[in-house]
Amino acid sequence: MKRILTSLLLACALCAGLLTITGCHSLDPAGVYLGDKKAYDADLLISSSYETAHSFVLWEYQNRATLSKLPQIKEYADTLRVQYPTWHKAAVAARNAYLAAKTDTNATALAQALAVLRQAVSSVSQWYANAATTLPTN
Amino acid sequence: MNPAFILAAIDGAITLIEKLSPLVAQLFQKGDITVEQQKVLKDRLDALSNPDLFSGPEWQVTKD
Repeated sequence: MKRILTSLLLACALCAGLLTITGCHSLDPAGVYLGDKKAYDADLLISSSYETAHSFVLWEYQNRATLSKLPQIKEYADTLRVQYPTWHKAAVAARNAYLAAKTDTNATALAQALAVLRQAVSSVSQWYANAATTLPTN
Repeated sequence: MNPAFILAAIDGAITLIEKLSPLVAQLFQKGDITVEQQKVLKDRLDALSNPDLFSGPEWQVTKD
């Protein structure tokens, strides 16, 4: 049972970690992104980063009593609750600025904001992996 | 193993995989990202710009 559970949690970590990688796909130029892969990749990362962070805080919130055996999970979830909204809003603002004016300055600001989200996804992945390796036995 | 913890962990794992698998699939898709897929993502981003996005109870820091 523990092996199955560990596999599931590691799958989560892998799944979330994969999202920090940029895909090699191309866009149908008739789409809403007009072939702008940078804008598409930004939206994909912002969206997946939010889903990852939200899943983690929701999981901790809905299972708080059970997860109290691993208090460090709530500590990290609370850190995410404080910091993630700021990171998310900064990334959305940078994305909107880039879409409004595709300058080098705005592209750099967007890349920096996305790097912060990428780091957040990586951290959440690490916490899922940590949970898999520190499961309580009673 | 604590059964409650097992259920909690499985619940969290399945929820995350359900949410992320479509996005991960796009990373490895062959061919162009379609017009419809682009619209779905754009609409999702518009929804994620909602100022109430972080107002749910799961986002509140509590001392308990």
